[in-house]
Amino acid sequence: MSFSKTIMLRNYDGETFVVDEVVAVEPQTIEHMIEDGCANTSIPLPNITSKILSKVIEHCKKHVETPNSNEKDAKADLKSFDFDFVKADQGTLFDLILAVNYLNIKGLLDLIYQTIADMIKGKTPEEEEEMRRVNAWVFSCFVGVTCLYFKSKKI
Amino acid sequence: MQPSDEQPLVATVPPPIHGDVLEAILSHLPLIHLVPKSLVSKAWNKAVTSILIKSPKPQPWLIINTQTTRSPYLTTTLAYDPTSRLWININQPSINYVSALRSSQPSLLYMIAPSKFSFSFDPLHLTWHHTMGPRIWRIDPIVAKVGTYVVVAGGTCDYEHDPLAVEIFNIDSLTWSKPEPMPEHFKGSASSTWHSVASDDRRLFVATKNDAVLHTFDPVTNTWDGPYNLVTDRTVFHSVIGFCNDRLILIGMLGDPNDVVGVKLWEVSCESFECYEIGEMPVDLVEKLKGGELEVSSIEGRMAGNVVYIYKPVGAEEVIVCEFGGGECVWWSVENAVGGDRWISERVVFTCSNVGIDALRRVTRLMV
Repeated sequence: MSFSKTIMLRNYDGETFVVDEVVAVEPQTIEHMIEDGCANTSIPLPNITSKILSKVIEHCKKHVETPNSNEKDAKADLKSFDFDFVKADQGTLFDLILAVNYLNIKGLLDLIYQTIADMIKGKTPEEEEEMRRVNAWVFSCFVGVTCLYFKSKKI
Repeated sequence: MQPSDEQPLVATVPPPIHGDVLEAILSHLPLIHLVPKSLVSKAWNKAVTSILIKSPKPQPWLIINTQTTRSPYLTTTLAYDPTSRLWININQPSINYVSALRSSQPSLLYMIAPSKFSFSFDPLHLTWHHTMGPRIWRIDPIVAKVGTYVVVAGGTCDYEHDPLAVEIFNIDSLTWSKPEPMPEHFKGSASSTWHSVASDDRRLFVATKNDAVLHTFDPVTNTWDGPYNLVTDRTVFHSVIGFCNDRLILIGMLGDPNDVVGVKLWEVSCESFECYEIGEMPVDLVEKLKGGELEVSSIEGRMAGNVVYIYKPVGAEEVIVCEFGGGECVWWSVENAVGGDRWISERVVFTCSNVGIDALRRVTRLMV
């Protein structure tokens, strides 16, 4: 195993994901762990499921692989990828917020926040009612994220 | 250890609500959408307040004020938010009629009659000030707010003996005073038809539209200064001025009325009055500005903050928008929410102001 090329991530389900280091360091949390020398065998991510972790890795991979140019095609391709990426049910988005917040991937976090912001723009009373429902859902996001905050502090 | 895919995570003791997630989400909304969100719950109100404290940048909105030309002279107010690029209907009672609605300075809306002078300078023109009219009967004067003064100059009726007369209304003491008249340069053209107007807290700037000759007036010392020739481009045949934050901006049309070849922006130094080109309207937007007309002899400009709005003074179908930022200009156009047929039966007056959350709270209905 070559540490400089690939990193192993082990999640809650016990599954391991082998990713290129350049992709693995997209999440700042993992980058810091590697810098601090905590990644000797594999990096534990006990609070993230396989489904969510594979989605996150997919996003990191796409953004690392896409050349960082001002080319119209590359930009449009990335935009289209992001657009499809956030077409998920609220449950998945909720899990993504928790995971991405923990992993500290700013770009992806902004994308998800913008998606939810667009959902809650709401104007009519019916949409306001929908928004109150989302309010309860987002409220539960705080509880989730704050729990995670306290859990990670204990570790 | 709690699995993250169970909904939702529940702490045995309710943790303090940090609200970072909510704030992060809401900060992605344009200002106009934050207002209703602040009413959802206390936690949301707090998040909105926190966002506004951290980024208190007021938004320079274009306000369209219309007034029907027949009794009961009903008024409507529409606003354009450049951030969300939305038109918003401002739901407020019709402004009580005094005379025709007018504006010669971006932030000031007024009505002037022999017996009464009414004016409003809050961003959405929800608050009106009323006083007795100026002593001299005026039709289309130059009217501008400079600090705590409202300066009324020129625009007199034909039979008035003093076409260059100036009167100043002190907002604090609610009194009129009559300083020295305008300089002789203004003879024959002392009205808002021929001049564009801008002001900062200290001085009034008056520029002739067809030859960009600038004068300034200080209402505290009652002194006029000038003339200054604003040298831009030899092909500029018509120009208007305004202030973007502390920058005096000049918008110039190039070519001639039957063949407008371009529109450019210059920044004018308030000390030396030298002009520096800062932007040029893209060709396709020049065509939109012209709106298919063969002759375009004049344009109007309204600006505040870091945004300039440019349009034809009568029957504008499109408004051209220019936003400054980081040394660059971003240009786009927006369809005028007041359609062409409304210009026949209504007076349409444009103003422009920075709009903050307090003004927004009084906005009750959105129009998309």
